[in-house]
Amino acid sequence: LNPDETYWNYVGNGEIRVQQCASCGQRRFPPSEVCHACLSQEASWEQVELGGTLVSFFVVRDPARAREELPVPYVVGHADLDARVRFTANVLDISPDAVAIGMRLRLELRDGIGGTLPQFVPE
Amino acid sequence: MTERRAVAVVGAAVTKIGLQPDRTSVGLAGEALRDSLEDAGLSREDIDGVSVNLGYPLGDNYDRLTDELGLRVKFAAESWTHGRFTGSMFMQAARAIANNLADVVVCLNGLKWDLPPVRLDVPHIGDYSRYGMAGAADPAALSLRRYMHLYGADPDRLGRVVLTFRRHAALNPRAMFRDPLTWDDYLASPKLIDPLRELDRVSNLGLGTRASQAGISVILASANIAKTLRQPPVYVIGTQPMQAGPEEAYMSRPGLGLFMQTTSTFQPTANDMAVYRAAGLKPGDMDGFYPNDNFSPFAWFLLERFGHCRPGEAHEWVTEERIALDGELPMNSNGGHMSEGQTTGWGQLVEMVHQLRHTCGERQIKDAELLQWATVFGDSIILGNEPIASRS
Repeated sequence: LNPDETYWNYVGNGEIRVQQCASCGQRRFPPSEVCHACLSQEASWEQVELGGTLVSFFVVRDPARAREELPVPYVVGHADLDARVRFTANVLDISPDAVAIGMRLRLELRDGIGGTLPQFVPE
Repeated sequence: MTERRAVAVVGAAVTKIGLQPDRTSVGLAGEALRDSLEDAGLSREDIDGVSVNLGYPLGDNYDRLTDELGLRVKFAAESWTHGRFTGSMFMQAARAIANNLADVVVCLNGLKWDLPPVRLDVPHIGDYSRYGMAGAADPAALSLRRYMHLYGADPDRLGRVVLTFRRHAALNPRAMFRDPLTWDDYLASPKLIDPLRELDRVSNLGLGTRASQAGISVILASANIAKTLRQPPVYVIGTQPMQAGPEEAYMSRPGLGLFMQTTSTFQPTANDMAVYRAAGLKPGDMDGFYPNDNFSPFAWFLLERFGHCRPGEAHEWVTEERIALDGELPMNSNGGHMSEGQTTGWGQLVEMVHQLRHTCGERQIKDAELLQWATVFGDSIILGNEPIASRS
């Protein structure tokens, strides 16, 4: 399995795991065969704390982009997890107008496009 | 080892820009080639190099173009088919001449955009589509939101960029969008990818990027040849290639936290300033600035990145007066991508050539001597109407 497949397999099993370099300890996301810090290809898959802080976001209000699983308006954001990796996901369970950079979020598994997905919700 | 040679643009042409369903990429490129040869006073047989940045499927590949246009060259180069490689392929042409690999190189593109669709540049975005993320506007919106947060920027001020570029386009016969825009128009434009308004995006008026079909031809030659030709030479004064790495997220400025970028404090780097350094120049020497404006906030990002104002200042620094044709730093005198059409930066390069020849009529930047082109990929080109040596 390549790293993306491994990641999604974990998600399918109800777990959010990220790679941690066996050589230097750097965590990384999105999944990759190679550690960007030291180029090692040895890594373990760790369950990490899922809380984090919103770095930036945008709101899709374009009706042409509505999906059955993701009606507009929807929010897409980058958040830096306390576990030192950045995730990109939708911000759910909050009005788009109330979303603000710096807010605390946590990752949860939700049903979405293509099946179960890690998604942000207010912490 | 021979000495590096000075290089100049000697001919430049753009066809009509816009939807041209009955025309082919080869036809558009051929028309631009013919016009640029006429402009330069060269014949096709003088061309000994070709450099293409938009091959199939956005345009046609170098071999199809040379076959069908009867070009016999000893230097051919082409990048991955993508708009971001305009500067790279211009610089390849210039370096081929500087290093005596060729004497007269044409940068040639027939932008059709509508050949069969393929998936292009989506680094890491494969899974992002499951989050409803698609296309270049999304990362641009993320960058803008972070910029607003960092510097307290009011995004409505982007209207100053949009309205001014449109005002310039009204004076440009080849611009796709020439109707004047008012502040009411701008503020009524919906934020479909919030915080970007539709008028902040190059795909405005519902036509989309793919409507910007055009042939473009820019001919470069050694300065010694350039001096013998029809037009006054427009010299290549400075170049900074594209920069890359985790801090270089596409559609952003370093420090804005997009994808793998850190959220660190940003200052222009030595590489950003390198475009000025070779010729002993500084940002304030520029008589005009041509930022890639696929999205209006790029005007802010690029002013800061290339040292025209300090990081975080551009949202206040840009006023309609300051970036107007008679302003302190005229910007995108052709209307930019947003109003002239999305020609992946070539329209701006051709405009710079015409401006430096002082042939732009109503939209001429008075006494233009040095003009700068720049993109969010960290590359920049300075053209001027005097060679470097005579400037120092």
